Amino acid sequence: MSNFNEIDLDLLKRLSEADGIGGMEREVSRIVTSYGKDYSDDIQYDNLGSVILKSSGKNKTNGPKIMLSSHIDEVGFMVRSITAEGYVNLLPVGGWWGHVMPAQEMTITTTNAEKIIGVVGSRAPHGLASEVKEKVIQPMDLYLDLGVTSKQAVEQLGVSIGDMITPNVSFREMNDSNYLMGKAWDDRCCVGVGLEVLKNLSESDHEADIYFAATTQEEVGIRGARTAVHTIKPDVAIALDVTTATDTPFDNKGMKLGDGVVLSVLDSLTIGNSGLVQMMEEIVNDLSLDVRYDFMTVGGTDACNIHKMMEGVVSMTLSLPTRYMHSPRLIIHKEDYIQTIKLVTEFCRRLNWEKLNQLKSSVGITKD
Amino acid sequence: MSIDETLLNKLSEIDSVSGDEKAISLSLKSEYEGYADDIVYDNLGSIFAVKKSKQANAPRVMIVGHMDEAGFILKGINENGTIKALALGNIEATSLLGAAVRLKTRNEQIFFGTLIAFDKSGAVLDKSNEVLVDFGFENKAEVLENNLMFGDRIAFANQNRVSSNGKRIYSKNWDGRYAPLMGIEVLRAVQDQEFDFDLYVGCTVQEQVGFRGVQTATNLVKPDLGIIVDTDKAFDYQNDLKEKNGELGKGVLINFYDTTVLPNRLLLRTLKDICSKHDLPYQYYYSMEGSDAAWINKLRVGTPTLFVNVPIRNMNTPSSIMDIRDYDAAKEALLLLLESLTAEKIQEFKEENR
Repeated sequence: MSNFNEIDLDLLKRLSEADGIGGMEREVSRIVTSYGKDYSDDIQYDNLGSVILKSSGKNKTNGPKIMLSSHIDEVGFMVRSITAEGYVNLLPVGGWWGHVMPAQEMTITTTNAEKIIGVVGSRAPHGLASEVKEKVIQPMDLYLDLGVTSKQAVEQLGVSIGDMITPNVSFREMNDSNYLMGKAWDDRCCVGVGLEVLKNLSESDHEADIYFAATTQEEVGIRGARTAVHTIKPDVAIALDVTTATDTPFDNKGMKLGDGVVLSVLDSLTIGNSGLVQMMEEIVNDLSLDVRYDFMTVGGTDACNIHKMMEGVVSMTLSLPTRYMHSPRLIIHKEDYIQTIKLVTEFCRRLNWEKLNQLKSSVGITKD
Repeated sequence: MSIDETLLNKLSEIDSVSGDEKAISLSLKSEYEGYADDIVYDNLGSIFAVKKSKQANAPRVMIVGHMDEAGFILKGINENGTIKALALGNIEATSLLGAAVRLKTRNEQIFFGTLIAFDKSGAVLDKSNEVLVDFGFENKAEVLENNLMFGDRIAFANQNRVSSNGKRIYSKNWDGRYAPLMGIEVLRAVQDQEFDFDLYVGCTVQEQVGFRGVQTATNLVKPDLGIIVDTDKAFDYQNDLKEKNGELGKGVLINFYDTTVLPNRLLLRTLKDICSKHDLPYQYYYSMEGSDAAWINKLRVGTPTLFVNVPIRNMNTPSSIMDIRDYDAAKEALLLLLESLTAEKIQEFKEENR
């Protein structure tokens, strides 16, 4: 077992509680820059708001470029319209299921960054027809109740059309403190991984140049990874993203929390570079980490757009399992988090030009 | 009426089904020439008038919308002389029975025809997205003798009309003519203005078939700021609406969301503030469809993007409807926005989400 004191829980809390849907990720990217600036040599942005922290290590050699990518946007909503009676209609930004929304507290972030709390409306079960009870309410049919009387009252709070809405949920260590509950673990826990890796590498003499990209707009169509990859032009990329844990009574089999790192062999949009998968396996062995493999046939990660940009980038995804994805409350496990940090840190230390050529040879690219 | 109706009618009368935008492009070139320092093209046919800044290394602002319209492409000739054609663009199937269409052959001969149903139920658009056209021919040989060929485009043939109260214009191709018209009117209005950015005003091809021309156009122009001018569907009168979204006559759309792009927040606020300050009618809008804006926004290292759109009823039918007041508000807002832009402002838009 790993030493759990190594990680910064306060960082995870701040990342989870920051509000940031696609196109409005500023709160999160500011945590990334304020935390990461001490561990990086340079900070860059693309024009969609992705922030890129560069770490050249102590050597400052001219090594291959590694892009680590974690997205900073979460699934949430926008203010779609305001009714005369003061209810706020929701526009989902990212994938939502009506089942996880009613009776949840949500926060509206206004233009002036003020936080307005409301609750998603729900029905009383009394006397509801069974066909109504059995049906899931569509997200577009749900609304936020701010506890005010009129449209005018909503506007006086500073709320306007297009404002961001996110779950109002506090970070919590569960009864076994290895289990961490919070909103937005998709993909904020991996943002934590990226920052911890930079911290680990800051006094290291690695050959590669590490670019940690905190990317925008993944949940709405993997857009920030596109613009970030053009800003970096990396040789190798590792997308860090969550995958669905299947260890609850709903599934009762498969991907368990706490069983170590997850190598994503493929998802529906990317096939991982096989040399990269093998290099990760070597490190897993050398560091005595635990390993699982993931074949996610629905959905994709930043790697989807990274690997096929420009002339192509050697890429794969490392996953962190989470329960209750795309809901207001997700649960992850410290062990998976720590092992992933160790794996990525060691990968960054090991990659050099020779290793890069080996990765390329796994797809048949040979040098004279 | 502040709209240049003569120009609109001239542009609307030209057919430009996706992939066959040459005629409208030539017409735009001759309109652009008086106002442009240069005219540039991408290799799919998108066209831009360039108005250069006197500043060196000036940022680039791109005002663009598509010039292709929804229509059909000839893909089969039946023994009975009817024509099989594939729809290009998301054409409203319920608008097609009896629709008047025309086909221009390679030697510029025009044939008028009408869409007919493929079965007794009266359905016109089949599962393969194909239609049948009656051009009056009685057999295949007659079709071939008249030089109709595979790949010929077939467009709606309706003429523009103004509603009798003068408030609305009915056109077969508002979705495909709003941008060409707006572009020319903007170029005329700013001809004596000096900007500290290079202004690219133009039109893209092949939007109806998957936002293609905008991708090559964006790589050509490499804009620092992208402004899309396009039409959005009006949901303002139908009897099964939950809420209104895009009302004719209520002004320019502040389009804050579509499924493929999230417009820049500061640009949205700037457009709204301009409208408020100058008493121009505006309305918030969200779209559950995609747009050209997506590619301007996410290609290369990303570009702050804004829509200056108007709502239309009956999009992609033989007769779509625009309200002139919406057009006027959009044009005024766009001109005021251009006037307010500086190199520093453009940088602020890039930095908005940091």
